[in-house]
Amino acid sequence: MWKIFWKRFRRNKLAMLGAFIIFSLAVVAIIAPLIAPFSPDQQDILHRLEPPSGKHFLGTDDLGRDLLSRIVYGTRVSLLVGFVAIGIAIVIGSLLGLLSGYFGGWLDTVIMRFVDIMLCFPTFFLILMVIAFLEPSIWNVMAVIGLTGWPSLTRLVRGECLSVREREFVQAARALGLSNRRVMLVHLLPNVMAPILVTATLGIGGAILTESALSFLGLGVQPPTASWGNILTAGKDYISVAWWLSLFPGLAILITVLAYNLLGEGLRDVLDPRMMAE
Amino acid sequence: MLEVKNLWVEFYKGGKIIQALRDTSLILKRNEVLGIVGESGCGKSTLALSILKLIPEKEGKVVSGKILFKGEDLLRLSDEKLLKIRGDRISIIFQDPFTSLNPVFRTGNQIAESLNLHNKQNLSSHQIEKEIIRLLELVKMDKPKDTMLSYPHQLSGGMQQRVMIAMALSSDPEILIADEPTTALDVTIQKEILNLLTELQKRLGLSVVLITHDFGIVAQTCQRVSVMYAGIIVEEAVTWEIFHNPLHPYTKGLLESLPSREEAGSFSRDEKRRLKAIPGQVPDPSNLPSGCKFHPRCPKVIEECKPQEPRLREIVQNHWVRCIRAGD
Amino acid sequence: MLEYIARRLLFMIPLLLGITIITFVVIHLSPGGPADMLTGLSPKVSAEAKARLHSLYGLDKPLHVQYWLWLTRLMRFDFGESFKDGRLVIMKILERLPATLLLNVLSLLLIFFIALPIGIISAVRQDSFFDKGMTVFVFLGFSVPAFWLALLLMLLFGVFLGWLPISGMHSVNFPYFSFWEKLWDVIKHLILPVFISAFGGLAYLSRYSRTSMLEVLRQDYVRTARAKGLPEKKVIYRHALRNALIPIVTLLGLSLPALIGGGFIFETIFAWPGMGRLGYQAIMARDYPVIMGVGVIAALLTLLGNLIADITYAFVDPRIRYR
Ligand SMILES: Nc1ncnc2c1ncn2[C@@H]1O[C@H](COP(=O)(O)OP(=O)(O)OP(=O)(O)O)[C@@H](O)[C@H]1O
Ligand SMILES: [Mg+2]
Repeated sequence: MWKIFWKRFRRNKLAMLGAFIIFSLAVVAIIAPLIAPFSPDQQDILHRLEPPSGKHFLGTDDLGRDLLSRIVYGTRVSLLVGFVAIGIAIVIGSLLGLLSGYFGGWLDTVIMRFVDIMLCFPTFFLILMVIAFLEPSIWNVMAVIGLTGWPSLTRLVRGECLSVREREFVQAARALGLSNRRVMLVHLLPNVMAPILVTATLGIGGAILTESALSFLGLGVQPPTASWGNILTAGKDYISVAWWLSLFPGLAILITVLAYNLLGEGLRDVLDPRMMAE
Repeated sequence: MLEVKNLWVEFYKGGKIIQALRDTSLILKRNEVLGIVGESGCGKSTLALSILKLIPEKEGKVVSGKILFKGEDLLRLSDEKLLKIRGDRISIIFQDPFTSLNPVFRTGNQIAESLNLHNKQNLSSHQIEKEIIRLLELVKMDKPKDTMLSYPHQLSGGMQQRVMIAMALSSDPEILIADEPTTALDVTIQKEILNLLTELQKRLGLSVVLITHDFGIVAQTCQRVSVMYAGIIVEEAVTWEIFHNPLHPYTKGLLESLPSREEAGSFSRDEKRRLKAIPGQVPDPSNLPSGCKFHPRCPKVIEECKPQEPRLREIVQNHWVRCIRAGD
Repeated sequence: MLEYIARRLLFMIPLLLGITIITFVVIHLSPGGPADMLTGLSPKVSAEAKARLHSLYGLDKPLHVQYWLWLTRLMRFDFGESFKDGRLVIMKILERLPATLLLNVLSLLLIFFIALPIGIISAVRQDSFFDKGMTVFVFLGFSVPAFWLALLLMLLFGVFLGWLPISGMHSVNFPYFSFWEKLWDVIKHLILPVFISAFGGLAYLSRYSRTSMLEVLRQDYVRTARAKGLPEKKVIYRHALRNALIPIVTLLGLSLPALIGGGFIFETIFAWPGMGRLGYQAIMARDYPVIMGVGVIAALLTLLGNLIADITYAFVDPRIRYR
């Protein structure tokens, strides 16, 4: 199973590229202090808004801080938000989806109606609304993205469960009198893992985009902590004099999200059950 | 009338080559019903589709061979000329009526589309409507006017298949290819549809290629039979001859597992299927055995069967067999 | 058909109730509950307003009574008054709604008329140069932060080239323009916001129509259409397209929440005088009645979008219409 997976994955060049970029970003996030040429908060008013040069590879911002260093540190924020938020969404989404798909009946009805309702809200506004009531901070951002991100996943997992539930091995496990929890965790969950994994990977990209948008609006990660989104906010005001402040953080977001999308779509192809069976 | 000569067809899937037809030949005579029999996956549908060049280009292609219709090779025809034959002089109906009609158009419209397409004397819309009703009556629909206005999902499987037949006949074709036209239907309906086809064949003077995996159907309807196995014709003769003097072990196997008439009525469709099974499995078409493709399942296998695929030999007059032990 | 619509409408009622409950819960979950939230955080609120709010929300009554009171006010679209200028929230929203609708409807049209052909053509010519190019575009479309793209386009067309205005809906001297000048002025102001708010949807719908079309092209009835002797063009654009449209139409209605959600950020960037910007400003100013109002109206618009999708769905799919 794993060998087939790996073989097929290796052949998918774009997915490999995505995985490579994500790996590199993770390394950058971990060893940020070693890579960043300056401290991300070190101000230098004399050298503010300097264009890219040998000393400051990507230039400096309005307070004279080194842009490259701030972007490097921003990697931490983006990856953290992506992983934690999607972690929350996955746990809630899979759990509700499993319950709904496995038990059916009124529980299914209640959960699915709740999902319908959640999907009616423009998610982004819901997030804005909640953040407005709480205080904007990286933790709240993660929690809120996670807590609003699960409904579509619940639908997906439920659908998969419904089809897997009727297959022989699940029926057999139930006939043998295994507890519901065991059947769900041991027999159902592994079989719905593939779509969850794909959704999670694509979701991380989405969460990073949402975080950057929130930070851009001043409702996400608060300065002076560097996040790609809030660097852009600051850059917006200097757009006509310091293009680098608007260009580079956006590129960082683009590349990161692209990597997750490549990996996610690649996984979708690779994990396609029709293909894996061969 | 129609002659298939040495047809090779391949599919490409997951990096593998599937040889669906290997050197298949057959001849369909005027006013004849030719049966093509074989287990699932032996290439019957592929044969039917190739005749009208309907193999999806992305999935597979005809590698070599000829398909002669009145002396013209259909495979070498320009698209424009092909469209004057496909659906016009040669029509086809498919196995699954539930999925073969377009769900978003009224059945009447779908028939009208065919009529317009192959309209030889420029009918007015009023005449077209009359024509649709005539066709639906021809296939014995009870309420042709209602049927015309319904969408496919409002009709039963048998009715949908009748609509398919009406559509296929709308162009007044010379040849009708029927690819397992009754497999997806209930037993009682199967009979009705078969009777209908036989009757229409006689009345309209059609030449029919009837594809099936059911020898019972062959016995009722066909004048001649070709038996297929793993993409090739293994035996061919008139129906009576095949039933009374089967020469290929595969044909014998198929016939032996066929329940007798009286029995047949008392079995459900699934049970019938099971009864038919010959021990062993249809070979994987991307990884065929050497020599005679049937040898791993053959009760009379000898060493000589393994190295080389046997030639088709005429053992009795007009009775061809692809087996080195036939006639022993 | 009418019965179908009625059933859909009926089905919306529990959804509506759910939406209001969630909104209600969000208000009550916030630290300190509505009382503090409404007054404590906004120093500008006068003592008189506080008392009014207190009775408005019936905060001394049990929760379910509070909800009921609140709900009955909602049904009259009474969201209270804005903290900022004391005007009725519903009036503030209504005057912003046309701009938002204009933006969203145009974006939807743009998405539909561009993404659909792109998706269909790349499905029909699967693996062609065009198809590969469009796959690249789709991946970029999924990954580009649209607000960043907005910045870049403003920089390019607004600052460097100076071709397009980059904020608002009208020029300063709009009132003095003739009709045609006015129209042209609004169009120029619309180009960037419409493009940006359609951008994500463009990528998504192109991808989706491609998938949908590929799926349909595999169906038996497409083979039947070919077997009839129809030329390939008719097979694709008559038989296959009609079927491929069915899921796409549904998706279009469902994409409304994303579009409206995006409005909050794009309207802000382009200073577009719509509901999204109003909502954003309300959030920044902690103007709670306005936030609530915008939330409920946005959810209502989404429901409306779903309803329209359902109805169109029934139009294109006879299996829904006639059962
Ligand atoms: N589009 C395709 N792509 C790949 N392989 C195909 C395709 N169509 C048919 N095949 C393969 O070609 C072989 C012959 O298939 P075909 O459909 O002609 O069989 P059949 O005799 O009609 O079977 P059945 O009785 O099930 O209809 C099979 O092994 C099948 O897997
Ligand atoms: Mg077949």
